[in-house]
Amino acid sequence: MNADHAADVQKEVRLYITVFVAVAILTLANVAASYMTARAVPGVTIALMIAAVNAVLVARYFMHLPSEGKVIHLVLGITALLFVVLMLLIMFAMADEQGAPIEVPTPVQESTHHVS
Amino acid sequence: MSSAAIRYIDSLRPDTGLYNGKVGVWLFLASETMLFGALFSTYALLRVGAPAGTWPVGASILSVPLATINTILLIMSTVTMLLAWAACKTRDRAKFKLYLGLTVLLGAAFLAVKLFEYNLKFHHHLYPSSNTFLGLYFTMTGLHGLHVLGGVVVNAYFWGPGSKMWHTAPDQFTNRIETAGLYWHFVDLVWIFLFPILYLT
Repeated sequence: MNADHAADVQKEVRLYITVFVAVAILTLANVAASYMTARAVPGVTIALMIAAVNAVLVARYFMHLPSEGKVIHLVLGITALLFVVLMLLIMFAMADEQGAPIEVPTPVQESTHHVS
Repeated sequence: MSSAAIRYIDSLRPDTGLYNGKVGVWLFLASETMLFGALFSTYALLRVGAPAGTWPVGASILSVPLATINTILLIMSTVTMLLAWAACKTRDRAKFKLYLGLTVLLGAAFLAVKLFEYNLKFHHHLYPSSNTFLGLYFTMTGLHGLHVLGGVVVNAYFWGPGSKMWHTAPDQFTNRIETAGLYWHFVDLVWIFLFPILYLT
């Protein structure tokens, strides 16, 4: 094990700890934002945006995704596409109003009064 | 090496540029993405389709402080897992044992907090069958919890009897820790999305 390699690993360790602090701060910011946002849609948007930044930090620095091989990028690219299709299916289903409450018309009561 | 020996477990395949275990674990994580993706999309459909005012705000039923603690625990464990792998690369066995041990403990702590949370819900008569939100909550966090448990068991094995390979095949062992680490980071990634979706919105 040469000194250069050990020094490289030490530099990486400092980076990992820096990213951990960043992710922890963003998590706490997400919690704080949730208490401040009264309306649902902006709340969901902000929460997911902060979660996405955290996810990118984990994928980039902890999983070393950029330095993985092309085959990994291809697999994950197809997965991402299929994931988007999965979420789009939801939007299409909503557009078709699937699952919307169906109003059942009240049957007309027949008159029981007979005229002789 | 005999012809029956598994190749590319500590050397790189010429076509992929990776060792086999790494390709395997990424393929597995791709399938896990679709598994959790199905649940996330189900959540989105049911939430958006629910009549106005009928879908509870997560924070009104669930404990945000406990879940925040759990999030920090899991992020810490993902860093200690990475430091364990770095210790393998620098052949520092003492640090490897320390960091992987911490990873196992932090994962176990996450599960303990989760069980405590579930118990609190049951104590207040909130069950998966109580409403759609709770059905999804218990399903999604339960499935995630099972993944955490699996990771804890595997990491505990590598900390204990599995660490014998450190002496016999250190490069292969380092690769095993790396693939276990990739799985663990994925488990953390899923929670990074589960936490805000269920608890904060």
